Formats: sequence, C-alpha cells, structure tokens
Amino acid sequence: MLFNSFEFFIFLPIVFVLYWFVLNKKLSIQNVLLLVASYVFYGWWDIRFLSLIMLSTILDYYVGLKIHSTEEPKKRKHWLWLSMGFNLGLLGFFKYFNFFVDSWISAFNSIGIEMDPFALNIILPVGISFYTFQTMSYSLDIHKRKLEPTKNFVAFATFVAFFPQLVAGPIERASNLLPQFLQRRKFNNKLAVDGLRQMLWGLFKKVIIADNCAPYVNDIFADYSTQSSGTLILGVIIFAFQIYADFSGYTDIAIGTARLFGFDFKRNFNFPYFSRNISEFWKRWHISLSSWLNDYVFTPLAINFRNYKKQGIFAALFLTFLISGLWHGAGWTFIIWGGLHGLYYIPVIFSKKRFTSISTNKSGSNKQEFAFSDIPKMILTFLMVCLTYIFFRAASVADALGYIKIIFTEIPYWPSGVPYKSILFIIILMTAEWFQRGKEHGLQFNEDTKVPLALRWTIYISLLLLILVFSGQQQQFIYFQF
Amino acid sequence: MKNFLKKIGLFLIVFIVINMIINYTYELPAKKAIENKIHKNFLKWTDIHNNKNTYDLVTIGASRAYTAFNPKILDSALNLESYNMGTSAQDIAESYYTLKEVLDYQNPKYIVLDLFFPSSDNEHDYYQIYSNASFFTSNNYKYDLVTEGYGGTGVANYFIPAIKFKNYIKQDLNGLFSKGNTAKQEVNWIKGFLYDTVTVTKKQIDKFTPISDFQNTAFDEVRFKTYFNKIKTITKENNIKLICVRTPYPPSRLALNKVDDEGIFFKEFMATTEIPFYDLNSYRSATYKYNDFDFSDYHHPNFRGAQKASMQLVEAIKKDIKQN
Amino acid sequence: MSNYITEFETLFRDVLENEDIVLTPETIASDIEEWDSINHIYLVVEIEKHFGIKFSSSEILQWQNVGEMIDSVKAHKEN
Repeated sequence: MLFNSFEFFIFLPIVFVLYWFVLNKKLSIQNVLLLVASYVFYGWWDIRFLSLIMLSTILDYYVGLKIHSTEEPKKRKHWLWLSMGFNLGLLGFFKYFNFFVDSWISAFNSIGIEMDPFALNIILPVGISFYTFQTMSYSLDIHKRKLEPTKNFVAFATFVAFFPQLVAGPIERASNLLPQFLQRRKFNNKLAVDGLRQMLWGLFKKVIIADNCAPYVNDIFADYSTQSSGTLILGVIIFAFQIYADFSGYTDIAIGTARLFGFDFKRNFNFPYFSRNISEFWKRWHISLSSWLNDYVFTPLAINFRNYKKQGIFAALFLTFLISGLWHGAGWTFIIWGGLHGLYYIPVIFSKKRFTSISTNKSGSNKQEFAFSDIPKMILTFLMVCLTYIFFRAASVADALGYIKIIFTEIPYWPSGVPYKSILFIIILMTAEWFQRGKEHGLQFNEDTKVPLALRWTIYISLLLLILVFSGQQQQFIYFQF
Repeated sequence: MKNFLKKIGLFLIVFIVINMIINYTYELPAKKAIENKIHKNFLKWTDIHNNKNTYDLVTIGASRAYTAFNPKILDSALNLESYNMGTSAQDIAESYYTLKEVLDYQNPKYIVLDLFFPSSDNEHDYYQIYSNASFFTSNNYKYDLVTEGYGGTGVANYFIPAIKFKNYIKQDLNGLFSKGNTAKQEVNWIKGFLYDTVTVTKKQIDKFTPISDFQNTAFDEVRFKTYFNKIKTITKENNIKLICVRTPYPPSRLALNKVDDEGIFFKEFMATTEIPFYDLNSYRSATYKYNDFDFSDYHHPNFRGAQKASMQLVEAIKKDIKQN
Repeated sequence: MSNYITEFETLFRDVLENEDIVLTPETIASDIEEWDSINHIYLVVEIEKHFGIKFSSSEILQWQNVGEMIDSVKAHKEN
C-alpha cells in the first residue's frame, strides 16, 4: 500500500478508530491490532513478502534471547553471526544475486572467458533493506549489551513490521522504539495534531514537488546524449530536489502517522541542503541510515584501523560509504555514488585544520544558526552532492560518465524546456523550510508561533487542495527500490 | 481526544464546503447548458433514449470520433440511419459502458469504434467521463463504470470535486498567469456529430508535436485488451458487426513520429482478431488524401476532414455489405 | 575516579578543541557537540597514548559513557 493512495486513505482512519476507540483497553491488544494492520499493509503488495518478514522476526526474537542468556563470548558471537548471516543472506539473495552474477560474468568476459548470462527472476521484497537493518541492530545492540531482549513476541514483531516505517524507514533502533511498544500508548492531542501537519507536509513534498519533477528528470536522463550542457545541469539539480522531496516527504508521512498512534520516531532529515560541508550533510540526510552505518560499520572498522592514523580513518570511512552505496542499490552506479562521497571527505580528514571545526556546527543540533555568509558553502556542498546524483540516477556508469562529459566539455547555455512550475514549487519548499529551520518539520507550529489560527488553517486547506489538484500520475517513491 | 476530533470535524466541514463551492462553480456551465437544451451529451442521450431502435450504425470513441463521422453523409450514402456517440475524452472502459447503455435502447447493425492510445492510458478526464455517464439511465452501468473501470481513484474522483475538476482548476490557475484562450464554441451538432468550421492555423501547425507513441504515452495494453474484448463480446452476442478505425491526424503531425507505434500496434493487434480495422490515415489514400487544413487543431478533423473520413467509412461498410 | 576525570577532561578539551567541556561519569557522546564518531577515534588513540595502554576492540565498542571508559582505563592500569 502506498501512502499516497486511495487504499491508505481508507485504511488509516479505520486503524485509527479501532486503535483508540475499540481495541484500546490493554497493551497486548493495541499491539496485536498494529501487528495485524501492519501485515495487511505490507501484504497488500504481495502476500509472499510476509513470509520473509515473519521468518526474520521469529529468528531474531529467538536469537536475541539466546545471546542474552549466555555469558560466553564465543557463544554470544555465534548467535550474533546467525542473525547477521540470515539477514544479510536474505538481503544478499533478493537484492544482490543478479548483480553479483552479472558482475562476475562481466569480469570473466573482460578477460576473454565467455560465460552464459544467468539471472534468476527474483522479485525484490519491498522494504527488505530497511527491516533487515532494523532487526540486525537489535541483535547487535544485545550483543554489545546496550539493550536487553524482550520476551514479548508480539511487541517485538510489531516493532519489526510497524507499517509507518516498514517500507522506507526511518530505520528505528530497538533502544528507541521497542520500549514504546512495551508501554500502553495514551492519546496525546498535541502529538497527533502535529503528526497530521507533518503528514500533510510530507504529502505536499511528495505529490506536488517530487511527482511533478519526475517527468522532466526522467526525460533528461533517458535521453541525455541529445541534451545541452545547461539542460543537463538543470536536470540534476531538479533531481536533487525531487529525491529530497520524495524521500523526506515519505519520512514525514511515516513519522506523522506514527505520531497519530502515539509513537515518537527519530528525525530522519534535518534540512540537508542547508549543509555547509559534506560532514554536516551526512548528519542531516537520511539520518537513520547514516547513524546505523556509523555505529555498526564505521566505528568498528575505524577502531580496528586506529593505529593507521588519518589513513585508517579514511579507509574506514571510504569502506562505509561504499557499503552505503551498495545498500542503495545493486549496481555500480550506486557504489560509485557512495565512493564519491567518501572521497569528498579527503580534504576534511587530511586538512591541517583539526577535524572538529569542520565537521561540527557548534550551534547545536536543534538550533540552525545559519548566517548569510554560509550561503556560498551551502551552494558548494549542494553542487558536490549534485555531482554524485548523476551516478545515483543514471541508468549505468557509462551513461553517468557521458552525462558528466557533456557538462564539463560544453559551455552551459540557458537550458531548454525549463519546468517553471516545478521550480516555483521548489522555491516555495525551500523558503518554507528555511523559515522553519529550527523546527522538526516544515509545517510545525508551536503555541508560541506568531502564525494566527486563520492563516494556519488557510495553509492547511490550500495545501490539501493543491495536493488533490496537482496529484499527477502516481510516481512510485524512489526509495521503494532499495 | 475530544479536542482532536472536534478539530478534525471542523476541518472536514470546511473542506466539504469548499468542495461544494468548487462543484457548483464548475458544474454551473453544464447545468445551464442542460437547462437551455444545448449541452452536447444531453442532446445525444436524449436522441438515443427517445428514438428507440432507430439507429442502424453508431460510432463510439472520443472527440476525434465525434468530429470525424458525419451522419448526414453516412445516411445518404448507405441508406440507413446513423448516430455519433463519441464523447469528450472517452476512455475505452467508458466506451464499453456507453455501448451497453446504447444497446438498451438501440439495435444497430454496425458499431464503429475509434482507437488511439490515449483512450487506453491511465490518465482520465473524470469530469468528462462522469458527465457522459451522468446521462445513463442504468445505475448499474454507472456504478460498474466507476468501480470496475476506474477503481479507487475513480471513486475518489467521483466524490471529491477538487480532484474531479483538477484539470479545469489547473487551467484556470494557469490562465491567471497568461492570456486565456476562449474555449471553442461547440454549437453545430448533427446527430451527435460536431460540424466544425474552424481550420488549424499555420502557427499551430508549426507547434505540432508527435502523436502518441510508446515513449510519450503510458499506453496500458492490458487495459486496452480487457475492454476491447468486452466490446467484441457484447457486439458478437447481439449480432452486431464491429468495425474499428483510427481517425486521421494532420499529416505534418504524423510525419513527426519516427515510428508510428500507434498505427502499427493496432494494425497488428486487430489482425489477430476477426474484426476489420481501417486506418483512415492511409485507407484508400489515393482517393482520400488528407492535408493539414482538413483539421481544426492538432488532432480533430473539421468538416472537410469529416467529409473524407465519413466517405472512407462508407467505403469500408460497402465493402462489408458486399462480402456478406 | 576524580583524578581520572580531570585527566580525561584535559584530553577531551585538547582533542575536541573546546575549553568548556566538563565531564561526569554519565556523560555520553551526544552530550558534547564535537564528540562525533571520527573524533571518537582520535580520543581513543589519545587516551591509549596518554595512559600507555591498549584496549581491545570489543572493550571500546561496549563503552556506554565516560564512566565506563574510565573503568576500562583503571582495569588496564591496575594489571
């Protein structure tokens, strides 16, 4: 089920009513309802997908208890490896099997050994990259003794399958989300109202901005060799906003929906295009994934390489980014995308300046103290990120290189077919987010806000009408393919 | 919770009121037209409903169909009574249900179905579709059209004016920023056919873009085949001869396509059925050669183009009569 | 403990370039803006150098707060 679909529009109120008015008496019943609803939501795509998530759930529930039950480091490790092996194996097979086979065959072909192409017709289960990472973090945290496993199977199963974040994140940590499933939720008016606002904002970003940018971007990338340099540059910039609006929009809907049910998810995007350097960017973009990779990949690697000084840190970082690229997709374009981001850290890590003043903004994570003098840095960072998007979006490495070649060898004149409507909406988006940069999301209005009630309601109604009127052809969320 | 529900309730009320205003505003012209008995769909359906079992040949399809086939010409050349039931933006599911409604009142010998990619894509002008369907006397057909033809989206469009009229609202919003073009006055209706005296201008011709092909149109082959087969079945069951055509395009426009995906697809597909198919862009092109001025815009024939298209249809039917 | 805390504070202030840092046994990384994952590595290296000890990877990964870091140092020093 998609968030921007008729079915979800019917599904959500039904679950909401049942949850708060009918099946509210006991915690266990609350959880069972959410579990059933989540499986319905997920099974809507393909009922076969359910078997995989159920399998992963049962295994990790069992493994969690097993790790905790013994003190022997070797046994604990073995149980952990079982969980990791299973989840990574699942991911590896469904997502990467064909890619590995193709790459293997290409490699052999390039040295002259012919092999028959071989590909299985594997359907990628929606959300598998997300829920496997979520359950792995559970096993890993138990192994690190950061967390105790739960004996409440229903709570755990619901934590794994919870429909707002099942399909495209945020990737929630057990230490943050699982306790919320172990406590009966009480209705919180402020949280729920803010949740609705956030959902509205997310829909606006997805339906009005992302879906309307898509046709323009698709045409350019499909036919890049006939486009002018200026058009290609505009194309990737529009794509940057498309993917931001699409993904952060989805996240807003997910977080907002969770709030309706009394759950508090962690923030996943923090206005990333206002970043002043690449390090800040990765603290603001897809925060749940970067922090996952940071905690479970980068940190262990860097600790093991710590005696190799800056080179060690760089190696750990670069490897982590390659893995991030691979997570995003089974293709060399994604791996190169990741690698480029890793390379962008070279000046950051190897500069004479201490890392701290570059990597952190001392103003604190909640107060976005940006100055106008930061704008050149923001633009530079944005353009660096756009360059990587060429690889992210292109159909193949060859296409990406061809695209880049044109940009850097031709003089950029005014682009053709400029999508003025999309650009207008993007400007509205960035302006609104700039003014709201201290808030959790673009449409958050606290009590102390200076925006009067009439104006707020006009904004809500206008946004809703705009969403209905401009609902273009339903484009799939970009991150569903991950 | 009470506070929350109150807010939601109030919001919904405001939303519904606004939609009612939208509905009233955009339905007003149609309402007026019906009252004044000039609404095109109203006129068509009145004829179909009141003149039972009168018409021997009915053409269905979108606006290209209702501008292409002139019943006066067909009647005198074939010595029968024909009617043109093309409606704006008619989509293939709509064609099927329109046909069902027509067959409740008529028993024609021939049904002529106009084919082109946009009638089987997933973009629908719900306002036009529902306007047509609003004149059905059968509530079953209306219900099936909405639910089976268009699913959840169809239902949402049926009940929420903001969505149903979105194309028109968008047009009006765009119109705020540019000089509005006054809508064509469609007044000259002859048995469902629009006798259009407008001719396309050189300026418009220069701005022509290619016709629908696989690249620029999300043609839904499954949807097409599903409803085509339903139409085929129902005509067979009622002993009606089904003939399919592709109405003509301005030649300059057709020339812009490297490959005529649409023409090739329908020709090949129709060859697998037993249904005759005539591509009027090339049928008997020695006699019926089109030029751009046979059209009123980028894809509607005007009265000149309709003259040719109608005669092509006459020849096709005569051929069929000879063979049987 | 208090000796160690002071030594740690000096180290942190130097590595993280912030003279205002104050540590307690409960301090965690998110309490200090400059203490991100990369700087964490620099901190570990400095602590190992300063106290002349070598931690194992699993030790480092299991630290939950400053107090546990200090406990690890103590455990190594007192062996």
